[in-house]
Amino acid sequence: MIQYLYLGRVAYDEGLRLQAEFAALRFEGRVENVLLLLEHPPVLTLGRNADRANVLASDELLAARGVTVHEINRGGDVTYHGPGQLVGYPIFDLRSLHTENGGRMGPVDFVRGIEEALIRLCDGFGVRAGRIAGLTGVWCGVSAGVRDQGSGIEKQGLGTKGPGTNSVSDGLERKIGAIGIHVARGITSHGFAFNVTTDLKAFQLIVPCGIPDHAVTSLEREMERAEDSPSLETVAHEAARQFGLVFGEQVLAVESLEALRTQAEATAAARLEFPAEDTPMQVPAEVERLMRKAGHPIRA
Amino acid sequence: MPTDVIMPQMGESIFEGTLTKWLKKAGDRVEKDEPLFEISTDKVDAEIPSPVAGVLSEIKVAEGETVEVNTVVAVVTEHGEAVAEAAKKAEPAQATHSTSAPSGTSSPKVATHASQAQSAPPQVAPKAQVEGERTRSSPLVRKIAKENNLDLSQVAGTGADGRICKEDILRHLSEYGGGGVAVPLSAPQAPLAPPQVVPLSRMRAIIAERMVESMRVSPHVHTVYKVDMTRIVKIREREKAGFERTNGVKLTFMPFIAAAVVEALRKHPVVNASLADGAVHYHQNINLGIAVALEWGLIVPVVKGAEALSFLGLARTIADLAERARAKKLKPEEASGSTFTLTNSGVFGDEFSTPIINQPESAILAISGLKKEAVVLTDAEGNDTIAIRSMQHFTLGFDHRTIDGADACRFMLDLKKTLEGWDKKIG
Repeated sequence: MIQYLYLGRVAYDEGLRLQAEFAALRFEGRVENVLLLLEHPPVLTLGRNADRANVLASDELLAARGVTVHEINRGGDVTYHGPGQLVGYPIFDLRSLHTENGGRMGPVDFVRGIEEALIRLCDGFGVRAGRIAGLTGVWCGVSAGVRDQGSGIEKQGLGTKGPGTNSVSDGLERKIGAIGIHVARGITSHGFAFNVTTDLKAFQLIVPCGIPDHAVTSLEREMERAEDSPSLETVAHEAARQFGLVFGEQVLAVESLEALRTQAEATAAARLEFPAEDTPMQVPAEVERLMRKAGHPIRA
Repeated sequence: MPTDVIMPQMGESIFEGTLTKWLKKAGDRVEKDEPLFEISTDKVDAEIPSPVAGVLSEIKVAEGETVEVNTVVAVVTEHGEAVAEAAKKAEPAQATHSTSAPSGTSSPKVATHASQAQSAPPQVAPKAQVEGERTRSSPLVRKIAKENNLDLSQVAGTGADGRICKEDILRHLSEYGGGGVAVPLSAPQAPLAPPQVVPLSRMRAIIAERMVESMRVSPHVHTVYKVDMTRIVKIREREKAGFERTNGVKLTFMPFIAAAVVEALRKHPVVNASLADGAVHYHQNINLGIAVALEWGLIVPVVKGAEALSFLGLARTIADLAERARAKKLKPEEASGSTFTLTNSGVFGDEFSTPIINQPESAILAISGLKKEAVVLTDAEGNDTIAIRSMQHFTLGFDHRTIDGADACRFMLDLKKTLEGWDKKIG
């Protein structure tokens, strides 16, 4: 099961804190797989493999534009988050997921699954997107036949006729969705950034993902009519739906963070009510007396 | 026991991995699930945890190296634990072994054992020590040692490389004498430590009492049937993905078996009855108890009114009860009132078993391992062929006060027929 929540605008540090909170809860099994969907104020984030040289703007320029910089422990190089971009943090327990072939889902299978969900998300708005071998992420303008690196998930109903495979190359591949995840104790964190109405000029501050010569794009830019571009919230709900389809999980919208936390509390409390593992459950003596005749064998 | 830490598989079609960073050094103490090393690939940064608690004793793959999936990258040994275990068992003979004989033996406890036990008169050591002995004694010497119940590690060798020769052992025997009456080496002689006494938990005591009571009260007879489950295996393979998607519950073999049992119980109500107060009580409902093994014991949640449930209803109820049984969320009334019990030992791969009746019921059905077997099939024209089929044994344990062999077998034949020719909708 996937429980998801659209949080609207959230500061980057707050996002990190929420990820840590729910990763811990997920590890204890007190919540289901959680997908946090939100938007950040302008920030640059540097992943484990980041080269500071890929931040092209000077620190002064960044400060002047109100863009903060964060170094974090996800994979991938440098990227930009900002208004108009849907950021998703799937906090999933990989052990609860399976690939189409029934096998365990590894971290890279998971990344392929996120790509698949975002590709289908684009398709839902009439935008063709696909993958580029060796460049994780979701790309527009990919030519036919470049869809390798598939995971088992891709085979489900899509095969070679899915979005992206029949698209005509515009000659310039451009990235619409970036992915970078971290796995600890089987729990994923960080996730994806999907440009809906993002101000793409902001990407000039960096070499996105450390890949020069690749442009970025957004849903707004790719859609037939820019006026049709959906609200961030609409895209969030649709993204959650696609996650459910791709990972084969039931998707439940959660009302609020409080609701999730209350659920986590309730699960913990329920466990406290019941004795620790080395003490077995027993029927209270009074109930036994009331319900059974004396001398009758006691049921466990 | 040392545990291998292996390179995990990062994705279905990925057959190697690059170890990008070690988070612990050789010699560090690690807890279970504590991150040991990192793999960074392709926008994924994964911390790989230690499978056990212990000491990271050996790093086999360096940072930056790429190895195949399942390659051993490190070894974790339970260093501290070994010492504690040996002290508890108080087997001094094992400890002294580390001083003399080459220790390429099967007993890892001794290999990591640091402390020396107190010196004691020669004791007979368990057979595991014998391996190391072979290199420093001849067969004749070993024979003499065995006859006299002597631990060769206690014997000083004067031959080349400390080899024990006949004179050495004969001298040792005359000085210290043998180890007492000769007994087979596999049984350790004169253990000094008393057994470990664990008082019964309440659940264990209840189970013990009930099992004895059941065997005392009911004369148990068991009849075993082998059922060809191939048809159901195929149906399940075909339907399970769609079933799970539509209904949100996994499609296991249990609902098939439960549904077939309910049908057979309908036709043979005496198997669903209880003997009490000198009369046979034929129950109006079929309440199926499904035995669930828990780490701390055994519990039997009950599917009440199974005769009224559809296939999907059975699947859902069984899954829900089992999950809540494991999470200790069952209400007391959900673990009582059964009229017939199913017990699945098949998950442990057994051939067939002989279960004990869950009183006050009259019968219990044990489901054993599902195995592929070569089976002779006869077609309509009487031609025999050998085919590979999925076969499963079902054992009915029944109370012969109430149920006769003929009733039991008729019940089982109906069950077998339903399962082998499954034709019901599973919705």
